[in-house]
Amino acid sequence: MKKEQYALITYLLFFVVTATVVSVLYKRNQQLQEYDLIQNKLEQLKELDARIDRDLLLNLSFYSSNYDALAESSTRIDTLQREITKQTTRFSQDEPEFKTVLQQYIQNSTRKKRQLERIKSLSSSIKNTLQYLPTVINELSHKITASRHDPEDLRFRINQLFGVLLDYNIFPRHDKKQLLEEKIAELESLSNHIYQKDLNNILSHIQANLRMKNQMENMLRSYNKMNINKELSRLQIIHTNYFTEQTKNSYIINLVLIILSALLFISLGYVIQNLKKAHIRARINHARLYDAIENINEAFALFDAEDKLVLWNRQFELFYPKIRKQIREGISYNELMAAAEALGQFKNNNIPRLHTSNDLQGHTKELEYLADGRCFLTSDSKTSSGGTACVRIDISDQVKLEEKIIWQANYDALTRLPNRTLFLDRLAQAIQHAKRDSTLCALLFIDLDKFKDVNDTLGHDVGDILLVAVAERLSSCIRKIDTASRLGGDEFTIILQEISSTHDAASVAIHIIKKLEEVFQIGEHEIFISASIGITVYPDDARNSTQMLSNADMAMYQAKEAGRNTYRFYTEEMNQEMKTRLQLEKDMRNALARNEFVLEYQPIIDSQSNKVVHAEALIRWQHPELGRIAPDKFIHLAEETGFIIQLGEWVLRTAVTQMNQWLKDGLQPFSVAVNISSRQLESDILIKLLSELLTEIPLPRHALTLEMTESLLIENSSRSNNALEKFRELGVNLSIDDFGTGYSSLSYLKQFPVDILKIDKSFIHDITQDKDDAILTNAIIDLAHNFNLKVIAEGVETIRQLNFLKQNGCDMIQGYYYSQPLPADDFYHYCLKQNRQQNSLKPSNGT
Amino acid sequence: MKAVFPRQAFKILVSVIIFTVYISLFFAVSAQANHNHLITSETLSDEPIQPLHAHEDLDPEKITLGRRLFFDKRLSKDNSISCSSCHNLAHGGTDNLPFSTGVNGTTGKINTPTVYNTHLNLAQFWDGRASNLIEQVSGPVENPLEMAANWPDIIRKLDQDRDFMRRYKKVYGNKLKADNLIDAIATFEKSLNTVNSPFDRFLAGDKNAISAQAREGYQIFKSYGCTACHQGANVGGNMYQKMGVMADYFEERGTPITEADLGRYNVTHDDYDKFTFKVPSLRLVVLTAPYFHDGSVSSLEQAINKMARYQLGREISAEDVQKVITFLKTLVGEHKELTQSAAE
Repeated sequence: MKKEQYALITYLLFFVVTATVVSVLYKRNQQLQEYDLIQNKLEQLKELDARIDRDLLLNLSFYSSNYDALAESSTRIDTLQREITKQTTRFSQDEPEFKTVLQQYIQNSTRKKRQLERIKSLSSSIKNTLQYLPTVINELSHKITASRHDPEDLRFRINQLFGVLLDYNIFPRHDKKQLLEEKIAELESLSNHIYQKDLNNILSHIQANLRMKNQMENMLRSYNKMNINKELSRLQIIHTNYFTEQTKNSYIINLVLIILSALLFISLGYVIQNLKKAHIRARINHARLYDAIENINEAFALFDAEDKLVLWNRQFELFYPKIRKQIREGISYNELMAAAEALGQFKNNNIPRLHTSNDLQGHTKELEYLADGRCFLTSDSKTSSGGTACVRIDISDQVKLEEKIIWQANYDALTRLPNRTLFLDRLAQAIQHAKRDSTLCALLFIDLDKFKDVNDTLGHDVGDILLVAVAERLSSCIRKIDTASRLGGDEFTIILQEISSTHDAASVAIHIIKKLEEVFQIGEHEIFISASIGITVYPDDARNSTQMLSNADMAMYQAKEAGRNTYRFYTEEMNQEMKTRLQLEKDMRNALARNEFVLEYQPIIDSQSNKVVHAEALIRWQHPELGRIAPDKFIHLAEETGFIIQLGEWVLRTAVTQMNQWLKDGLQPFSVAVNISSRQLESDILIKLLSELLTEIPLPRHALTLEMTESLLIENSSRSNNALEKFRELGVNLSIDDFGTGYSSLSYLKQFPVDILKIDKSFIHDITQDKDDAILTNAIIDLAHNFNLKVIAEGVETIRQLNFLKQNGCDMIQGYYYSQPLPADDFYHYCLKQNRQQNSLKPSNGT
Repeated sequence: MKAVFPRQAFKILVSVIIFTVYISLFFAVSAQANHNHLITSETLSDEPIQPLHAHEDLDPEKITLGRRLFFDKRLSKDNSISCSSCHNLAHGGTDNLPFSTGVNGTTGKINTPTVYNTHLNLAQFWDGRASNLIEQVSGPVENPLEMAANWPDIIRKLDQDRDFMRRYKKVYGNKLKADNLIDAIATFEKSLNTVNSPFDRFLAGDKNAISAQAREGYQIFKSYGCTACHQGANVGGNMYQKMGVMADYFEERGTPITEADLGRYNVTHDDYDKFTFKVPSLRLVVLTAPYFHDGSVSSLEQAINKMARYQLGREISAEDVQKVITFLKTLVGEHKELTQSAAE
């Protein structure tokens, strides 16, 4: 059995036994009182009876002249009898004898009382006669004396008679009665005298007295026989016996109960001891609980089923410092939170709710934000007793970290503008918004012009500062609902929401362009930049964010192509062009594998010897569907997409292999020129490739020429110079293509280690008609020769052009006059034929 | 544990002591006897007439409530009469009629006795059929010739009376009971004592409290033997006596004998008790004409003459009668309800 149960049973037993003892004692006490009461009354009755006898005696012997005492005793007896009858109703049921005797007693008592009353009445009347007789006898005596006439000695005889009467009244003896009767008879026999009337009156009273005296004697005799004391004593005995018996029984019961009580007292002591132990255990547990809840980092509070605070730790107070004074036992959660709200404990006065609902897990978790920036994770769970255990975990650091991660994921660290991720999200939202509200939304794609120059010339640090400044200016140009973001590098976007027309977008674009044209003062540098902006509008141009972004991008390219520092709206044509480009790009990548590219070689003839001394390798694309595609249609695309690297490698390899083959086949040594694009120069890939290729396929020195444009050299001046030196070390010639169309700055001729200049065909075309072109061409040739460079004239188509060039000392001629670009085999035959002709024309020079 | 033990022992000790005290208390209570005071022996006095004292130890609240009921007509069946209708407290506690009128004009069969000083009587009613006032109250209330009511009806009527119930509850608790109503009325009646009469003052030693003629009247009253019956504090009321000891009253009255004339016989059914009545008190006799149980005598002179004749068997002179009347007047005491004086 468990100790608690034992304790409970002991308690119960103790109280049951105590209650029994008490009730038994109480009942006994009641009985004793009742006994005492009845006995007392019976005793009183006895006493009253004796008193009545005494008072009656006093009355009869003339010691008392009134009956008040008797009357009072009589009334008291009545009352007592009634009380006893009433109070012994129950007792009488237990003891029928008592009832019988009591009834008998009352009956006798009533009889005695009635007898008493008769005696009283009679006694009064007797007294009257005795009191009256002297008066009336005296009157008669006076009469006789007055009349001096006393026949028969009447006065004496009456007085004598009265004397005997008194004697009899005091000592009533039979002989005296006889004497009295004789005397009365004597006086009655006297007749016919003047005192007859008076005498009769006296005699009648005497006779009445005698008669009543007689009655009195009888009554007193029977009264004396009425002994009611016997019955009263009997009642007392019956009553006492009964109670003696009762007491005996209850004594045993009492004894047993008291022993039982004592035993239970000992048990109670044991229980108390156990309780004490339990108390100590409870205290230890409490201390442990206290230690536990005080040593956790979480705030803890326990509310009972009535939602009253019963337990909490210090952390709970520290978590809510503003309501620290309000936290006290018995306060309800709602009161506490109301106080906290009043004191501004919570952020936005957002009162957290105490979760007492019975959800499946029995606990709920929510976040609670405080005004001071802290954030708690609330965990309220139902306790087994129906209360609520309320736990608060401070997750402020986690929340801050999360916020930081979220920020980093969505914002650009440098400019603090939304990044690509957030931008796409916002764009999607803006589209949804526009769709819902049937408004317009525009996307502006902004690319800074020439930003790369800034980075290259002033360093990345300045470039970064500039980007931040640009971001600030962009942000200043837009409304709050709009979003400026940085996609990366120098690319920015702006989402304009709820615009009424495309014109609004244009206005913003113009504003931005103007704003960015203003000088940027960064440190000591004054920087001028511009921007190209592509604009697209939802829902006019696109249906989704991806499309919008690509539209804007396209439009931006258009702006760039239109000369930068301007904006362009996206048009359907742009899209078509883009599609074509994309298709082309796709085909182009496949074309390499399918061998759709071929190289053609245009011979370059020495103006003096008329021999093939040079050849320019030109790429051709035999598209399976579109047929032959000119290089200007796809080279640019290849450059943009970076495919130029692969294509360039293929071209080089093909040209070198071809050249090697030709030399093996016995062609006279000459140099093959391959065009190099700026992308190829951006990395060291080309150098690496060349050195590998030339190791693999060794060519004589100067058998390979790399052609590049003026602008390429200028744009990559620092890198170019380094690369060019490397090329030369590998025995590769360098030529400048399209000379005269670019910067027309001649300083670089000195700067770069170039071997050949190629005069652009635009000069050559009108060389015979345009004097300026002729002068310019001459100047270039002279200049080149002065720098010790060879000159090739491109696009020579007529004999006149040829002659002019020959006259002016141009070293080599390229053009349709001699030959169009030829496939490798044709070129081989052309070379054989041309060189043979020359050999036959000049046999002296043949080797 | 060392520190714990004494406290624990102390607790047990205290419990034991409390229990012991508890038990002994019961024994002590049971040992206490509930003794009533026994009647003290009364002083013997030379004078047959004793001074009248007010009844002590009456609850004033009960008296007030009893008085209310005494004057309450709802105690009669048709709410027409109250106790005071026949027992006019201002006029000696009777209605001065031979027979009183009950509800619906019925006429009683016996003369209404005074309600003053009644608790001194050895029994109530002319024939003493009620041994005390408690038993007496229901008599007139339930008598069809008098109030003709019953207690359940009365209780129903009184229960509606908020003001009455408020007073009642103060004294007897919430439940309205006939016993309590009777007790209240009886208590009020016990308070009706005419104390401090000139004669009582005389008895107390003030010889000039009554006139010489009254003193002479008292001597005559005693010498004629009147005090044989009319004695005690109430000048009567403490014994029974046959009407017509020395002569036949009823034969000479000339009217047929009624049931009421049988007197105490109606209670004891003993022939000896025929024509025996409780001796009436003479305290207010000068105010309570007409006289005798049959109300047949309207003047006190006549009554005295008849008493002398039938009870004492003698004649009394007119002069002595006047002296006796003068004496009887001095018996009238004082009570706030009693406004009529003996002089009137």
